Formats: sequence, C-alpha cells, structure tokens
Amino acid sequence: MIGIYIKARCLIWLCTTFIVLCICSGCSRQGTTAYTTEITYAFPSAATRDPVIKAALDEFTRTHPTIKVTPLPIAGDYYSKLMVMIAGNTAPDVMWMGQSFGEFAQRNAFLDISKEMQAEADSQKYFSRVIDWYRFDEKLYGFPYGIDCLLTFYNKDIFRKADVPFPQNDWNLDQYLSIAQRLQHSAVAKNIPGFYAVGGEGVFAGVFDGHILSQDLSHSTVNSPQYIKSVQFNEDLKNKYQVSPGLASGVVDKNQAFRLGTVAMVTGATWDIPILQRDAKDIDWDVVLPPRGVKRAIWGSSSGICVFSRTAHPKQSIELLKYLVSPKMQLKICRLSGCIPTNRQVAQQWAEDIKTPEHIENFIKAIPYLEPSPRAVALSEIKSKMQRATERVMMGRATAEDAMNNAAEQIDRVIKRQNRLLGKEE
Amino acid sequence: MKKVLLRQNQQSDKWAALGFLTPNFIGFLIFTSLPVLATLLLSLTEWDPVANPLSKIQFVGLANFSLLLGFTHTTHGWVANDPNFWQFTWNTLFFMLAIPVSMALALLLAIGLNQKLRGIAFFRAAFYLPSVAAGVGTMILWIWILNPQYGLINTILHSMSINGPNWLQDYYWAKPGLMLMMVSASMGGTGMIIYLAALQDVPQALYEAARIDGAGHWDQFITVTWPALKPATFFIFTMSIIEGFQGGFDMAYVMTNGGPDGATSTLSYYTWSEAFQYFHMGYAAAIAVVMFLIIAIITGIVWRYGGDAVKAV
Repeated sequence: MIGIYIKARCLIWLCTTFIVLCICSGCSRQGTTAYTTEITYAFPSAATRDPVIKAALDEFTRTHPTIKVTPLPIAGDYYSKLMVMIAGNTAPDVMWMGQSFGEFAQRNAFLDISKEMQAEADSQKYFSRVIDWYRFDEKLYGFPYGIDCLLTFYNKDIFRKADVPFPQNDWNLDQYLSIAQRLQHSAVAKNIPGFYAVGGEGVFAGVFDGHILSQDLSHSTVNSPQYIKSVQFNEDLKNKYQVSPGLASGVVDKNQAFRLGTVAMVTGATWDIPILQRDAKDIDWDVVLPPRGVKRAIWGSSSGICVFSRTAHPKQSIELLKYLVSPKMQLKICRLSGCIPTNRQVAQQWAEDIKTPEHIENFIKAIPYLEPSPRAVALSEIKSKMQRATERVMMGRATAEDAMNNAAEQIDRVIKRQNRLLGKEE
Repeated sequence: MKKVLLRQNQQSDKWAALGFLTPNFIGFLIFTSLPVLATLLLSLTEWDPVANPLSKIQFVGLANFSLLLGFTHTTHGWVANDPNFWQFTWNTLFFMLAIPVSMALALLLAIGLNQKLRGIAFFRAAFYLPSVAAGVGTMILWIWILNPQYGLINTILHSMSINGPNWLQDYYWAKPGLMLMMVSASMGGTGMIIYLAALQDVPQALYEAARIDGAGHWDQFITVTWPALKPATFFIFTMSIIEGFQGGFDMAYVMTNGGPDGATSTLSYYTWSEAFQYFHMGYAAAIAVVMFLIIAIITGIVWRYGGDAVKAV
C-alpha cells in the first residue's frame, strides 16, 4: 500500500515538473527568439579558428538581433563537402572560400556582390590584388578578410648550434642549398638526427617561373622546362643532396618535426603561426622570405567570404559577409587563426601586435610576390594529378620529365572534359 | 469440406506472407532497385550536379564505358584510355589476397575458441571486440602502428636489427601494410563467428567414430571437420569476394588518400573520388556498373563451382 502511495506521488511530481518545464521553455522561446531570419555560415574547422568564428558570430547576432547565424564548421575535405552540399541543395548561405574559388565560381555557386562591396573593392586601403582573386568574368563574387602565404620558418637554435648565419630575405636558391648542406653536415658530424630543410611539393615552381596552367587556363604547362626544373630541384634536395627528408627518413609531419626541434628550416604557412606560438614556446624561431630563383615568387592564398547564389536570404547574408570582412573582425580573426589582414592599416597593426616570430613583417613584405593556385574549375582534380606525378618522381618511379609530360597530358584531358561538361567546348 | 478449409487457410497464409513481405519489398524497391536503375541510366550520361540542374544532363551513350574500358592505339602500342581503372582494379584484386589468410586465421581462432576451457566466453568476446569497434578508429590506430619512426611494427623490427619500411608512404609496402590491418581486423569478425557456429554443429558421433578408427587430430580435421565446414567456408568466401570488390574505400580515405601514386586506391575509392571529388557523376556511375558486372560474374562462377562442391558434401 505504501509502495503504491510512493509511486503515485513520484508520478504526480514527474508530471508536474514536466508541465512546468514545458511552460518555462515555451515562455523562454517567446521571450528571446525574435529572429526573423536564420542563416548558416560554413567554414573549415580548425582548433585555432572554431572558437574565434563562433565568438564572432555570437557578436554578430547580438548586434543584429533579427538574424540568427548557425556556425557550420566542416572538418576534413572542406571543398568536397561544400560541393556535395551545393549539389544536394543544402548549401550554407554564407561560406568561407580560399584557393578553390574558381571551382565554385565557374559553377555559378556565388552571388555577385560587386555592387554591395564596390567601395571596399575600389579602396586603396586594401591589398587590391588579393581582392582580385575573388573576381570572375569581371564580377566580384567574394571578399577576403585574410591573406595566406608560405614563408621559410627556421629554428634559430639549430642555426646557432651548426654555426650557420641566419638566412636573409635576399637569399637565392644556391644559398638555400648551401645553408641546408651546412646544416646537414653539422647534424651528421654531431650525430644528431634531423636538421632537415623541408621544402614541399610545388613550393619552388614559382621561383623557376613554372606554372601548372597557362594564363588563360586552357592547357597545362607542367611539362615546361621551368616546371620540370622546379620538380627536379625538389627531388634533388631529397635524394641527391639529402638535405630534405626523403621517403626513407620517415618524417611524415614536417610541422610536428619543426615543433619538436628536429627540422632546421621548413616551408610554413601563415596558419601555422598560432600553432607554433602555442606549441613551440621552447623554440627560438623566425621567418624569412623564401629564396629567390629566376624571379621572386611565393605561393599565396586567401581567406574570403562568399554568399551562396541561391540563398533565400541574400540581404542578411551580405550583411554577415560585410561584418566578417570588416577591419575590426579582420584583426580579431587573423590574430587568432593565423592570416594577414587584407586591410593595409589593420595588417600593420596585426604585425605590430605579434611578438613571435621576430620578423613577422616579412609576411606583409611577401604580398607583392604572391602567386595563387590557378582559378581553374577542375583545380582539385588537377592537383591530384600533380600530386601523383610528384610522388612518382620522389619514389624514383619516373624521371621529372616523364612524370610531368604524363601529368600534362592528363591535365589537358581533365580541362577538355570539364569544359565539355560546362558547355564551354570550342 | 476439408479441401475448402485447406484452400481458405492457404489463401490466408498467402496474404499474411504478402503482408510481411510488402514493407521489405517496398524498402528494397526504393532504396536498392531504383538507385541501381538510376545508376544504370546515369552511366549513359555526363552530368556535373553542382554546375548544372538535372534538366541539363547530357546523354552520351556508351562514351563513359569506352573511356573506362577502351584502349587506343598510339606510337607506343595499345594504351588504356583510363589507366587508373586498370591500376585500381589490380589493387582491388591484390587486396583480396588477404581473404584466404583472414579465413584461415578465422578458422584457427574458431577452433581455439570451440574448446571447452574455463573463461572461454571472455576470449570469444575479446576476439570479436575489434569487429564491434568503429572502423575509422581501428584505421587511425593502425596509422600509428605502421608509423615508420614510432610505430609498433617498426620498433619490433628495429629491435631485431631490421630497418622497417615506410609502410604507408612506400609504393610497394603500402598495400601489404593495409592488408596487415585488414587481416587483423577481419580474422576475429563475422567469419570466426560463422565458423564457430558451424563447428558446434558437427556431430560428436563422427569424431568418436574417427577416433575408434584410429584417426589423430589432423586426420579428424581433414576427414570430419573440414568437410562439415564446407558450406560455411563457401558462404564466407562468397561474401568476402563481394565485400572485397566493394571495399577499400574507408581505409584509402582515412589512411592513405589512395596514395602513394595510387597504390592503395580501389575501385570503390575511384568511384567516390570521381563522383564526390570531381563530380563526374556519369563516369562514376559507369565505374559502379562495371563493378556490379564484375561482382555478378565472379559470384556466379563461385556459386556455380563452389556450390556444386558444397552440394557434393
């Protein structure tokens, strides 16, 4: 009897609590959700970027109470997943966009924002050549808030130990090789594993004046003597001079190796800065412009914002775009996630604020020499062909010339096929 | 009267059977048959779903199949129109060499776990556990096991004064590296469970008779156990062949990105990359159709000859 009484009381309590909670949640929803529009913002997930973006979006919602922004951090292969979302009609309203801009723009994925962003685009306050990377058919389809580039990061402690002077911005490829060899000899003499100079596939192409595609993007130029020389140089660093880790060394993650202090020089990116600031506090490191070859060229990319062409909320989406690329947000996002602000004044402030590396201003000095990946519609496929070709060279399965000739043929076929698919065939 | 009642019963059984089958049949129709049909139709087209709506799909006839399977005569002789397809088919077949090894180890494990020992239930659960674990987790674990510098395998090899290979980054070692993982992950899985169930079905009287005839452990295995396991072996082999042709995507995606130089790309990975990386939907569908035909033909052959062998038991 007592058992039944207790059960009945519990049931009454549970029911009452449930009803009260329902009423409360209903009240709270009525009280706070005055949003008239809900939009989504997609961006590549990264430990350094996620909290900054989420905080920025929260702030946007506070200042724009009628717009609710749902952050959509995408881990892994960002561009492929975004493409699948577009194909499946579940595309975000606003999206982060970098070097694959051409793949999306040529598939009509973006809204033309030329009119809305005309003042900023024409302003001398911004690094205009980076803004031009978001133009297609003379229309502006996105706006960058940050610039990314690859510079040479070096471990000053290792240089001191090896008694090698620090590299200077005006160094060339011969000096790069000579420094790498001196470092390597010193490591061997002292029986220290590592001390490598890590380049990276395609990093040297620009300095040899090699390009993946012709200027009009109509055909591949990886079989040009310049490009082949760049591939050969990278291969020689690994296999002939053994100053860069080849396959046998097993150095898989160059950044991790740099953080552990076993690599003297590494080709690092802007987005590596916050990671190194956090994880390599015990290492005395700095940055220098990459060596000059027949010309000075540095691989560059950008972090920009685009609006989906078929968004149901174009006005609100553009509002969010404007907010994310504003000077105030540029400084916040670039400081924490690692990129150079596109606003010149903000970029100067960004450089002044950062204490490590010592020569952070070298990133700004690199901007006039930046060469982005081609804005080709089939960039990801072209890049995968290039990756396979360079892997073949690195593994000694083909000469640089054979691999690049083969890659050029394959890339030309890819371009032809893609043009046919988009109805651009001549 | 009896006949009428019987007919009525049969009639109601028929409706009941139909009632039970219909939901499954509708599900099969919507989620399997229609996509298969759509894939067949898509394989005759060219379509980029990001750039173009379905209305702009282009019919290209058998062009995708000709590009996929055809050869062109050049100055260097006959050259495949799509060398990737042949390389990845070879990779897929190569990975299937792990099937007999997995099956043999699954049988060994099942025999071991069929013994009447104290705590055998714990061992059965322990050996089956990797099959329950998430595949991606297992693969990430194996990336570390195969790490050339800090990995378990190379550390063991190093202690024996052997320089281990750079498993996942070497063209020739990447496939064996992945096969090691496949064998370890699959030997304690479904195959082992099926073998264990089959072993428990073998009549003990047959073993007793064999022992009376003076048969040792090996003779008992050859004359009693193995023939009794033939149906289970046939089932596991057929399923493994089908899974082998369809498999390889997850490990290529998680562990190697299909590299180095395409050494670990399989047909399923190729289908995925063509469809969802490069958005050549028609071509990806053509690869899927060819895969379907290969699986159908090989399963037919296995069924025809293997099935006969099982019936003969």
